[in-house]
Amino acid sequence: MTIAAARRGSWRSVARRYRHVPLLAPAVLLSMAVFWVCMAVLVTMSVYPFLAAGTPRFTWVAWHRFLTDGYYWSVVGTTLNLGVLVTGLSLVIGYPTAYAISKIRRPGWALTAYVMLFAPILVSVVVRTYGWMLLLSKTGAVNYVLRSLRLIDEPIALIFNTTGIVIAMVHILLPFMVFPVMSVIGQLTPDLKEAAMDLGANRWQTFRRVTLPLTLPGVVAGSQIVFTLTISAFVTPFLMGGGKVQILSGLIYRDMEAVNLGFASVVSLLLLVLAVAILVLSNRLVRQAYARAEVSR
Amino acid sequence: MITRRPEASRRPEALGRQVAAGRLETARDPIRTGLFVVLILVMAFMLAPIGFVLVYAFSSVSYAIFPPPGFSVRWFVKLFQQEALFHAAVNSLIVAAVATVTSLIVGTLAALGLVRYRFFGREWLRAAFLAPLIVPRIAFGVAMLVYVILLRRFGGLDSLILAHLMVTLPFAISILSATLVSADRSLEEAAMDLGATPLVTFWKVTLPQIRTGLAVSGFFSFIISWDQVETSLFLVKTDNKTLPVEMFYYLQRQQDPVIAALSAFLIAVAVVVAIIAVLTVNPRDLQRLLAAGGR
Repeated sequence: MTIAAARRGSWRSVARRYRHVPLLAPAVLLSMAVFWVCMAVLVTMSVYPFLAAGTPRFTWVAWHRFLTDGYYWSVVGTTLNLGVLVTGLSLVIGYPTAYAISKIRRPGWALTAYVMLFAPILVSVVVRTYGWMLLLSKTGAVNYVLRSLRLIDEPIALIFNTTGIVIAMVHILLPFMVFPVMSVIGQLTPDLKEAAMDLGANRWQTFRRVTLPLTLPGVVAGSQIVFTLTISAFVTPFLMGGGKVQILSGLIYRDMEAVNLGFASVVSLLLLVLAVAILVLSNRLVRQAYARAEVSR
Repeated sequence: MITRRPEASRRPEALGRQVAAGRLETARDPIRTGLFVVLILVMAFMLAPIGFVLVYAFSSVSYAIFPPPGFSVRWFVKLFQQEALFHAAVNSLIVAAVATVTSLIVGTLAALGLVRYRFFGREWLRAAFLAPLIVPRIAFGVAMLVYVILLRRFGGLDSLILAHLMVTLPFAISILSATLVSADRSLEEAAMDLGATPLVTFWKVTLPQIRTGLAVSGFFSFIISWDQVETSLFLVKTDNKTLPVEMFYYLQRQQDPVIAALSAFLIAVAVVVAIIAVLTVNPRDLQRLLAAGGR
């Protein structure tokens, strides 16, 4: 009887030890059966391009085509360049915006600023891109205003080039920069700034030596999100570029339209590698930024 | 400052509070003014394209010209004759609703497992759950298409729902985990001690505490699924699209203001939703949870 009781007890303890399993099982099964299989499919497709057609045959041809053709490397260059431009501009605009919002004293106004900044997220990316197409076209409002002010004689090309893509992308991704910066600014304690001021630092020095290093983790996090989303975005660069600016996502779309699945998989994997590399890099930068902030404390 | 003084001297404690809140020392300050101007400009920048879509929805001509020569509501009339858009909207609603409900249920269970139990490989599992956030959506769309072809399920809403679920589930798990961490565990223990079964405890004690997290992650999931182009693009059949995909193709075919009229309609819905969200959710919670979701 005692043995039976002990066994019952041990069963109970085993059951207790694995109580998390049924809770986690649905999510694990779903992500294995869909997401992780998809990742495996992507890798397989890049060397078995005719897998979906039912005739699997191993070949490096898609990889070879991508890695040896200079055109595709220039597309990688355009994509990274776009990422740098959009991230840089978002940072230059987003940092002061985050700072300004965090300095609003009346809660009602702060909430209003907040809602105005984030409400565009509720509007479809397609709609927002369409708005920029209307604004920036040759007969659009921006050219109209510039011509009325006699700043230009002929309408200038603001869409179907990099300018248009950058403007629309900054608009779409700005909230993703403002948010992380705002959350680190919210964690700043005023006494550090006061201490710097008391020790004779002027406002610029205080900002450069105290506020900026302490908010750097937010800056890095925001930049990582904006950069990754820019290089993998499709709708906005495609519509604003009008086929004139080719980036990696456009290459994927073109090859999918041409049912060139092997090549589309190679480009997709490359995009994925870029995104992961940027994440790893930014995680390292965030750690360094925190370490430096600790030291300067 | 001067105008405030008599009022403040009447209530010295109010003056103290204002000084403490930093209200008096930086009354007129060029940097503050500069920041204020930046904020106004950024807000104008954020709202400009949306405002112009609204203007063009009422334009009297089919081409985009500023200023529009006249105003009419004919594009709204034409909008309601577009069966493809209506069909796509219904598809989007179904997909978004199913993806949202599923990711809330599966996400709550997973978050409970991750937050409440210590086990080997927990951090790895969490990372594996969040991994889809890193994968470019268009790349996932490519992979999903091949997978769906191999399973011979191309063109159905089921594959679309599964694809969207992979995107919404990580958000739900991270937001709900953040909420569960701050939920009070001792209340649950008290309920159990008083004889409540685990299910009753969950329903009556845990669920009310994670209500905000559920609302926020449900909201996010719905928006993300509703506005998903890149993941859906390759998975839809030409006669069975979702709304954003249909709009994307429509814009490539022609640029008449039907899309502006549709957008005006969607923007109106978004405004109503935003107002409801602001009125019902405590802004502090919202801010904290948005931070969790952003990661």
